[in-house]
Amino acid sequence: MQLEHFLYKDGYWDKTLNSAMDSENTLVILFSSFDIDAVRKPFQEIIEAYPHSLIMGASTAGTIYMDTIEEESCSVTVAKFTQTKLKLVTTSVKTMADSFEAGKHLGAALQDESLKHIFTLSNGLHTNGSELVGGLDASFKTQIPVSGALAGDNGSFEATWVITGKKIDPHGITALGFYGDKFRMSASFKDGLDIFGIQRLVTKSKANVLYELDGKPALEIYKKYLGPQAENLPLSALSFPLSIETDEEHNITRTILAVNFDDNSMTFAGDIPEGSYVSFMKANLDRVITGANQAAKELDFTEHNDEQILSIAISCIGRKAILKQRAEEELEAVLEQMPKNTLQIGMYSFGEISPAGNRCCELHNQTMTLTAIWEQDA
Amino acid sequence: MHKLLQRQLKKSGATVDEKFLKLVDEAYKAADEDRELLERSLEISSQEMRELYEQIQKQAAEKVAQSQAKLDRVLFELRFEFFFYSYDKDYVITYLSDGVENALGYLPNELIGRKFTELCTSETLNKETLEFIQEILNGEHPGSRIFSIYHKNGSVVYLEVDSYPLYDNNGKIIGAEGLAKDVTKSYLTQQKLDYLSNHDSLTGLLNRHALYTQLEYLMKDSKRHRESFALFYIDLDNFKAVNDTLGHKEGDALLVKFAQLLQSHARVNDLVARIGGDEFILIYTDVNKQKTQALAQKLIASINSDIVPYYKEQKLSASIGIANHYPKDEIDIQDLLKNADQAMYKAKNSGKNSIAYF
Repeated sequence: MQLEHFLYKDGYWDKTLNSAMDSENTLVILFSSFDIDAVRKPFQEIIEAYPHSLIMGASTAGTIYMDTIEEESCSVTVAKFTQTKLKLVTTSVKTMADSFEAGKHLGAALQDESLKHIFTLSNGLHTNGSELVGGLDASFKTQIPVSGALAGDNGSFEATWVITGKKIDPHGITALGFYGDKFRMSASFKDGLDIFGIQRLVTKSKANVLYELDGKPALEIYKKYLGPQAENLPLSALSFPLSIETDEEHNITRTILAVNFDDNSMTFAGDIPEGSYVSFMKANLDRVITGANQAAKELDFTEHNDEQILSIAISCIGRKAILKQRAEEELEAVLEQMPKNTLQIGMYSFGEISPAGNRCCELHNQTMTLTAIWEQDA
Repeated sequence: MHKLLQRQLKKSGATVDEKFLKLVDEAYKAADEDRELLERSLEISSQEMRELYEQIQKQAAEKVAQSQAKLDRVLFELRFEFFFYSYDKDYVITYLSDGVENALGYLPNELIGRKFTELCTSETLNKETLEFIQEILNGEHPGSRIFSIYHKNGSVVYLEVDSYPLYDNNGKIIGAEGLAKDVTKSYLTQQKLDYLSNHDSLTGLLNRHALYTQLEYLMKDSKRHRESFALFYIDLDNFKAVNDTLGHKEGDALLVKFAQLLQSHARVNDLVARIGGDEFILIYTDVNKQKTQALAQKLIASINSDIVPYYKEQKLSASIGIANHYPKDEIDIQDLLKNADQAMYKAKNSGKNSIAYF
């Protein structure tokens, strides 16, 4: 696998796009914090430079390149595989209710005996992430690891987009299948947040929209906790993600995406089941950074020699909001644990997707989710 | 600009790059915001925990009150079935709950100060009962026991009594306390059922099932106390002729009369049973050969004088087969009965109205 990285900023590429890498086995990943209009120009140049390659990409709440967060830029990674076959499928959802079927459709379209991994990027505001991963999980008879992200934006929670083929679609979902015996990957995730305060019963919710906790409007509770910072809702609510108690060993973390002041509701990046118990979570900055390091430690490199690694780091917008100027420390913490020849790219998202327990994928929030990809030498 | 940063710049007099200054200023403000948020959330969270704690305490108190009310209700309803009591080491009653009036007809004050043994019937006031009470006064809990007690109106009431040792503040046993329940109705019903399952409904003698049970005890006792017993297998000769000529009613009357005759010859520890139509068993305990022979002859004489004359036409008589059982005998019940049966047939074959030994 050969890797190249390009950065588009202030209207210019940091180096000339290399068409020599273009092939049917070439993957071009584009992460950008540009809005849909601003990204059209660099995207068009990529299509022209890589006409035969498979292109996928998404809007971000910050773009990751090695140990740096890039804003107002377009980060492009070109990965040319030698023995791995690639297949890209796309779909679009009208409403969140379409999410489960969309996941099933994408999973079924990529199904093959030699399928080893799926990397998916979904819009961040029209897809119910829990349902999407549920559909993907339901489409496989055997366990295929799936990782990916829900696209983000600059923190306004207003518009996200996904590249679907040659289009940029605010409702799009794209999934890439990796096939072949030489393809290797490892995925992990960690948050590093702490539960605090009392447990609250979800007394009214619908899918990922939360209305009431313990019979009181959830938004009022958040406002009380946020104090003057309630003015910056929904961004400021990222300080207090919710931990949902489950029957399994690990709780599920859910981060806020939007608020509706008319009906006092809050939209989260995954379902908040009515009748479940939730607690507020808070961050200790050092533990959040250590969590990222821990995620990297849990990656399995037993089948890795000296091959080049593409590490796709998907971190939650909530972590960035909490860590602020220290956000890049979590990228450093990951890189410290990675093998030397690792190219780390990634994005800050509205939701992270990664295998968990005995499920091929689960939607996470507030986590650092890592997917390390490499191709074994012949 | 953050106040602290302003002061630091003023004190140091440093000239700093504007972009750098902006980053530091933002970091100061962010740290302040984080601290304020943390302090605020801790304060609210602590308040919520306090409220939750108070709420849980209140709910717990309400639950306890509800449970107490429920318990009071149950106790109120149970006062007709149970009563509490305590007595001292001399059996003097020291406490009785109101329920005693329902069970025994006395008000608590009428009995407190009296020895409870005064109320016990002779059936209850035996060695085993006194041992049972003593066990409790020794600090044990031997379980519950049925006591038969005189009601104020003179009738007998059966109480199921559960007792525990009663301690003073120094841990010294000063008596016993417990719960008593009037079980007269169920006790008498059970007694009746026991009687019916062990006795022949026509004659009131032990039935075959009860005989086997009693014989089992007897054979064990025989070994333990080295005592012999004799098993008489008695069959009425020509009983069928009585039924055929005089009818079954007269036949039944004969069986009842015969059973009474056998019982009149039995002593307290002897057993009399009817095991078939006209087949009876009489067991004489603690006998020897001579005694057995004397009893057998006395029995035949009595039958011949008291029964036979009324059934001359039917040529009624009795044949008796006797099997002796000695403590050293290794024989089971079946064989013992078989032996006596064989002896009885020997008597029949030798002309009836006679006695034969195995």
